Amino acid sequence: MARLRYVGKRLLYVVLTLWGVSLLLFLLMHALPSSPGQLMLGEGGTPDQVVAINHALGYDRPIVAQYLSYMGGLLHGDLGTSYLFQRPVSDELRIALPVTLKLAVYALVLDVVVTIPLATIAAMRKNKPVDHAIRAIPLVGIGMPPFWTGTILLVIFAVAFKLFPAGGLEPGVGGNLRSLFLPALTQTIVASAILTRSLRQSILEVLQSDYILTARAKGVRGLRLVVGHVLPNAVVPTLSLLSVLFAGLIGGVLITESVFALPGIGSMVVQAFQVYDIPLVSGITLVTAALILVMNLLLDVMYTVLDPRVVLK
Amino acid sequence: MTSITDGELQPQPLAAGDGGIDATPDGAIRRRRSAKLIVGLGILCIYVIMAVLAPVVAPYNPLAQQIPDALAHPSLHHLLGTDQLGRDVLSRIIYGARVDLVAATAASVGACMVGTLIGLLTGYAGGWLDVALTRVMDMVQTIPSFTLLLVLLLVLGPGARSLVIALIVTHWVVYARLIRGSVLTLRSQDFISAAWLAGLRVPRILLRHLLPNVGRQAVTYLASDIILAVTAIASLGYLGIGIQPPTAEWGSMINDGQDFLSSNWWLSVAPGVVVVLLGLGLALVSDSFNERKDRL
Amino acid sequence: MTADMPRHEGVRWRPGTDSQGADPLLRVRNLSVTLPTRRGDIKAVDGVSFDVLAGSALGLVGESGSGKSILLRSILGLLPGEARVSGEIYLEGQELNALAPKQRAMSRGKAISVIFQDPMTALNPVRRVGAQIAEGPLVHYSLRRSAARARAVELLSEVGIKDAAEVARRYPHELSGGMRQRALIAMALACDPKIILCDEPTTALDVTLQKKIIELLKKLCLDRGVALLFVSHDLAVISELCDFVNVMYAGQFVETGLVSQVIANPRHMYTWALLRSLPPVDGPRVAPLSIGGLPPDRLHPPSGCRFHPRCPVAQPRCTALPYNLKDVGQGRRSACIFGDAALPVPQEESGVAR
Repeated sequence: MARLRYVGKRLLYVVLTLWGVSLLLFLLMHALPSSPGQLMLGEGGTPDQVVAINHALGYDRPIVAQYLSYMGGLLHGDLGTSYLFQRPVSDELRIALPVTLKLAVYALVLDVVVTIPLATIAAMRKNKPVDHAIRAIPLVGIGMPPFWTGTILLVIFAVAFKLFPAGGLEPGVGGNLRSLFLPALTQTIVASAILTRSLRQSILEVLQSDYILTARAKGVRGLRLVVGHVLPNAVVPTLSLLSVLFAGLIGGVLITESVFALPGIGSMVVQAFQVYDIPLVSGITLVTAALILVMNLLLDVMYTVLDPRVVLK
Repeated sequence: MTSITDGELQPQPLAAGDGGIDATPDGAIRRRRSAKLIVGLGILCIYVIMAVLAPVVAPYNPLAQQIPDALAHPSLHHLLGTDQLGRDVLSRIIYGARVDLVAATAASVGACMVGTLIGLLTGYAGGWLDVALTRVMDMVQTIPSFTLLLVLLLVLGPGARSLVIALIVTHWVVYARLIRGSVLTLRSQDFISAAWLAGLRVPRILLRHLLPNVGRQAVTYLASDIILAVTAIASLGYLGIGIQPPTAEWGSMINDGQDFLSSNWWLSVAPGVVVVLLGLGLALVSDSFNERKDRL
Repeated sequence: MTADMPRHEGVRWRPGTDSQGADPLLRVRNLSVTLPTRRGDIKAVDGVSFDVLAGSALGLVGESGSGKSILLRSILGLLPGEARVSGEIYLEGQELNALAPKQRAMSRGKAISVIFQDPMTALNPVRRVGAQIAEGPLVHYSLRRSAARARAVELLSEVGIKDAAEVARRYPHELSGGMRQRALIAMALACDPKIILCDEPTTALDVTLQKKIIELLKKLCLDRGVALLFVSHDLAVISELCDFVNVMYAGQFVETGLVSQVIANPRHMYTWALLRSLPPVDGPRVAPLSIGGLPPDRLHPPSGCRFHPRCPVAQPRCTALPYNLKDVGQGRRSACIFGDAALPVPQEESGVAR
């Protein structure tokens, strides 16, 4: 029960923050030096045409009125109409967003699959060669821009060895899994570098604790000790770190889409940017913010499940 | 993996602590740390030289096109070959430091200053100002920096100056939170109350007493932030945003090279290696600073 | 897969029991533990030998740093990786140090279990109490989960917790300190051990709680005939609970024997000094006397008898004679040159030795 109330409160917070973000975006959009009409028509438009378009878009109304209709639209799920595609933004997003979501989930799964074993091995073999090797990776990993790692992976696995497609999204579950693997891996290389360091440290601290000694004294050992006692305690701080990093990870995913020519919102926002398609850029920004807020909420809830000591305030 | 599932755990030393504080003599630890520092600083020096002395160090003009010599393989004339317009790759990389590194440093230092200022203010003032600014920080951090950068660049227009400003707006929050946290902790400590009671005014207290203590943390983060900024600039450059061609910029060079991955793969790989090495240098330096701090 | 758990049919040891015939439950021979540190090697435990008879309670008393906790851990084989161990440990005739790590790990928690000092930190904070108690039987006897859980609830009532079923579903931070310690005891009993090692289980508790826990341990020993190896720095607690006591100083035993005898008639100056440092419960109020001097340097221990710098009646030969824990009759042993008979009463009554 307490947990439901907690979730409710956090949802409220999510909504408020989203509102703040939308306000921020609205203000920024109206700080543009040129009006939509000018941007759409470019050099070729006559002043009359510009005025006409601006009027059609409601751009010449007082700012408060514009804001009200903007908010009204948001509440109905209307994010405006894309200049580029001449269609509602929400329609465009409906096609592109699933691709990005799939990639994001894939990346998260890979993160977990890679980080936990690496950190555990490094902690168990502390100060041995394996540990040093695993600890050295973040030193290099933090400097590797995702788009470059993606390119390298492309060179090695798609061009030289032809194991994975060199871009684009193949249909079907199998096709999806194959085409999204390298992009997800790109993001995992960076993320796991940071997460592994944190988890390793956390595991080392947990290993020093009395309850691990007690468990070993009971005869608990090996996998059961790691999975039943060490990890549940050790992942908790790393989960917090994941919350903080998540926004950055999504950013990386968006960029990686361009490297691999994936039809997600990352590629879309770049296109939109280049043609000054304000509604589309703004809509995508709002959606990604919502995505991150929801993910943080999920992580927080998971946190309370994992650690019963957390007081649900 | 057999040792994990079947046998014993590797038990931990009694004298707990990481960073090599085990049953090894002190000297070895110190030597390891200064090795890190020296290597890191060495790497950074190279980059600074590249940026500052580019006209002296680079063999060619980075913008000079020699179409007949396009896509040449590495040779004595062109140590890293030439790109699709015949420009010397090595020179472009060297001049790239002027763009990427300088812009990134400017952005990080700017974000550090802005963030520190706001952090100090909000931490010390408290009240509704604190609450409001913290909400703003939440909002800025909720938007992925990539999309926020795009929005800001739409507003600010193209060019290096807008890029730096946009980066400052995206990056200041971490510093602000860091500083605010330290301020809140220190604020409750006695020596601040003592200073206030002795009659020092608020700005003086901030500058003299709080800043030195919290500033160290900010500067430590600065190293990671610079590499994040370089990555951001290069990512945008890769996408054709921000720094515009024909300026030599590492990210756009990687993009240019992507068309020739099978024949001239180093065109894309080399600039990336340059970024990675910079990251390595910064990481080594900031790591050794961290370890030194822990020992205090 | 259910296996019936064997029930340990143990009998409480009584003085006068003919223990000559039976093999001791636990035999330790020449155990030494060396810990490398930054400043050099420390011999935390230095050539220690003792027996624990089935169903009896042996107390190990000594000050902090005397090596008693390390001794416990070495019996379990739970020392840090760079510790070096030599000597033999026989549990029911099986030599533990000779076992492969995997076998060693599997031997813990079954015939031999532990109760640690701090109930706050000894329990896993993210798992329910009942599940933690049930884990031993699950691991060692492959009991079905429901059977193991039922056993956990039984054990919780046996150690005196009301509403055992409800408590079993709680997390450690939802229990009081006393309940947590009882839960630890329940956990130690889970697989029906023959001997329980206790590492100062009452030190972290307040006095009333201490008494209750000691009563509980006494009762359990009686009911189940389980042996105890009880480590403490508190001689008073040991005298309440244990049959035998070994006094430990700087990694060595300096005196051993029946508790009643050792306390009534100590045969080593350190034991004497320890007894003098306890305030008397009844009788005239006498200020307790502290033991003068500093704890021994473990890196470079004093020559000869390690207690000689702090001993009020030390003789010149005490600095030279090698350590020798000799029989002094009635099954007692002492390492003191005066151990054969009653100790000389020191001249200075101020109590603080030179």
